[in-house]
Amino acid sequence: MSTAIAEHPTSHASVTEDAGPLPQVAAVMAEFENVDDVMHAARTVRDAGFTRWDVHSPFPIHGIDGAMGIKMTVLPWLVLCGGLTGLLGGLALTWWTNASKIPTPFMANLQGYQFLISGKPVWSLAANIPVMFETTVLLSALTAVFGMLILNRLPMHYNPLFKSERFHRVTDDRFFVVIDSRDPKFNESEVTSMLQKLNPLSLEKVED
Amino acid sequence: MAHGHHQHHAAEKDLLQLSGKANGLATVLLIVGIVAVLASLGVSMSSGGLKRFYHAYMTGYAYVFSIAFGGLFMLLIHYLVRAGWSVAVRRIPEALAGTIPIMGLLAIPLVVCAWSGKGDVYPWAQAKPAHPTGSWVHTIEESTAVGPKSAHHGEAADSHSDDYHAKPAHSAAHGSHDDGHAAAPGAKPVSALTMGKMVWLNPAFWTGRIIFYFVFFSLVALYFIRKSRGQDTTGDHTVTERLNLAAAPLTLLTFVLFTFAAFDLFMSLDPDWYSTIFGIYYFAGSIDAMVATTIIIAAVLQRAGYLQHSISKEHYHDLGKWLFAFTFFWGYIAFSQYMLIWYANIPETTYWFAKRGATTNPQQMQLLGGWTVWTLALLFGRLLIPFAGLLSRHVKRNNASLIFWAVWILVFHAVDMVWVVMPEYELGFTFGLPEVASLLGLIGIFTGSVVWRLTRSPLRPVKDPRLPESLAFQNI
Repeated sequence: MSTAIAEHPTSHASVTEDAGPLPQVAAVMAEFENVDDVMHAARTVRDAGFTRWDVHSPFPIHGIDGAMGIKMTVLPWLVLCGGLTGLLGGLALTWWTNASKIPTPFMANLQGYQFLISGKPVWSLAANIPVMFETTVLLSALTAVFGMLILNRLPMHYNPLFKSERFHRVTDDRFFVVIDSRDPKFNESEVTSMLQKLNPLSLEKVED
Repeated sequence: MAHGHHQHHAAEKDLLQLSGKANGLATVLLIVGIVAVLASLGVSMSSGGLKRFYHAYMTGYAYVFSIAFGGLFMLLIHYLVRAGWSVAVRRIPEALAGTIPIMGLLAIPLVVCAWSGKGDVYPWAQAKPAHPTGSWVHTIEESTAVGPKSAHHGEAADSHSDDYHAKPAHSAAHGSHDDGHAAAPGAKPVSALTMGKMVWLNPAFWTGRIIFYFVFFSLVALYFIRKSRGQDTTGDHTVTERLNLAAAPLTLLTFVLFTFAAFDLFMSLDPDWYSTIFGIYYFAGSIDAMVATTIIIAAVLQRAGYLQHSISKEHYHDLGKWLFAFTFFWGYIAFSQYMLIWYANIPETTYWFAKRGATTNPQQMQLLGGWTVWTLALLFGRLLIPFAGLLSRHVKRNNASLIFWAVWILVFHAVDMVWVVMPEYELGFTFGLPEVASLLGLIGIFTGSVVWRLTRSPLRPVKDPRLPESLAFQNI
C-alpha cells in the first residue's frame, strides 16, 4: 500500500491544495466522523440522483440501505432458481441411477442400474427425497455464495481508494462517502461543492 | 444510533398495562372453555361414551400443552443465546409458559382415566388386560391389526380385512383360555410387547412421572418469569446474567424431560409402537404453534392500542423467520420419522402409519380413507403450502400476510394433533363434534389463562438491560 502511494505522490492531494490540473479523477471521497453525519450525507447523495457511489464504514450501519436508496437484491430469486434446479437435478439423478437402465451417451460402461433394496419398488419417492433435499440445499447455498460474490463484483483486487492514506481509517473510526467518476451525473465541481456543504472532515479527489 | 434513540423514547410512552376489561375477557374465555369441554363430554356420551371424550380431550390437551411448553422453550433458548431482539416481545412467551401449572391441572382427567382401570385412552392402564398367548411374532400380529399380516405373509387382502372387527373378541378369547389370567369383561388385548413395557407403563409410575414433569416445568417457568418481573422494579442486570447461566443446564434437562413427557402422554396411546424421534416431532409442532400464537397475540395487543412503538415490523420479521424455520423443521422431522419406518418396513412400527391411512390396500382404504385424506392434508397444509407461502421476506414483513400464515399454522397444528391422537380411538376415521368442542374448550381455557397471565405484569420488560437493543432492532 505504502509503495503504491509513493509511486503516485499526487494521489492524496486534497481539494484545498492547489495541485494544478490533475490526471483522471476516479472518485471524490468525503470523510465523516460519525454515523449520523454519514447517514445524512448518504441521504443527500441519494436524493441528488447518483447511482455509482458507495458508503464505507468500519461496521455495518442499520438503515444504510434505505439511506442510500439501495434496491432489494435479486439474489433471493437466483437462490430460488438454484434450489429448484437442485431439487429437479436430485430427482433426475435418483431416477436415472436407481430406476432406469438408460446408458450414458459415449460412455458404454456407465448406465442406470435398477437396484432392489428391501423389496421396495425401484422408483420410490420417499427414498429419493433425502437426496433431493441435499441437492436442493447444496445448489441453493452455492448460488447464494457465488451469486453474492458476483453481484458484489468480488473478489476485487484493486480499487483506487487503496491509494488514499486517509481511507485506511475506514477499518477503524472513519466513515466515507465515495462518488465514482463513472456516474452519469458526475461533474467534478458540482460533486465537490455538494459534498463540501455536508461539512466533511476532509474532501479528497482519488485518482486512478 | 439516532433512529434507535427515537424508537426508545417513543416506546417509553407505550401502553404497557392491560386494562381491567382483560380480566373480564379472561373470565369469559375460561367459562366458555369449560362449557365447551362439558359439551364435548355430553356429546361423547351419546356417541362413543367416555372413551370418545377422553380421546377428544387428549387431542385438545396435546394442542394447548404444546403451545404452553413452547413458551418455556422460547424463554430458555433466548436466555441461553443471550438474544437481544426478542426482549420487547418476551412477555408473551412468558405468559404462555406461565400457564404450565394450569396444564398440570388439566392433565388430571388423563390421570383419572389411567386409574379407572378400563384402558380407555391408555391400553396399558387396564387393571386386567386381555393377555394373549402364543409366540412373540404371533402376538404382535394379533395386536397390530393393520399391515403386518400382509407384510409377513402376503395373504389375499379380503382374508384379513375381517380380522379388524373380529380381533378383540378373538384375542379376548385367547386371554380367557390362558392359564388363570382372567381378563376384565370388554378388556382390550394387549400384546406381549406391551406386557413387557408395563414395568415403565403402569398407572402408579406413570402418574409419578407426570407429576414430576409438571412440577419441574412449572418451577423452571415460574423461576424465569419471577426473575424477569423482579427486574422490572430493580433493573438489576445481574438477574439477566444469572438467567443466562441457568438457561444452559435447564434447557438440557427440560428437553430430555419433554421427550419423555411426549412419550408418556401421547406415544403411549399405542404402547406397542415406538419412535425415538416422536418427542422431537411433538416439539417441532409445539414451537411452531407457539411462534404463531406469539405473532397473533402481539398483533391483537397492538391493534388494541398496546405496545405501539415497542414491537415493530423487525420483530414480526424475526418471528416470521421462526415460523418459517419450524414449519420446515416439523416437515423434516415428520418425514424422518416416516421414512425410517417406511424403509425398515418392520410390522411393529409400520402399522402406526397404516392406521393413519398410509396404505394402498383397498380394503384398508375403505375403512381408513378419511385418515388418508387427513395425512395428505398434513403433508400439503402443514408443510408444503406454508413453506412456499412463508419463503419470501415480504410475506414476513407484512403484518396481514404474517397473521394469515400464523392462523394457518395454528389450524394445521390442530390437524396434526388430531392425526396423532384420534386414530388410536378405534380403527377407522373418527372426527366430529366432541373433538371440535374439546379443542375449542381447551383453547378457551388456555387463552383465558394467558390473558390473565398478561394482566399480571407490564406487557414488555421495562428495565431489562437488553431492552434498548431490542427496541432499536433492525434486520438490515
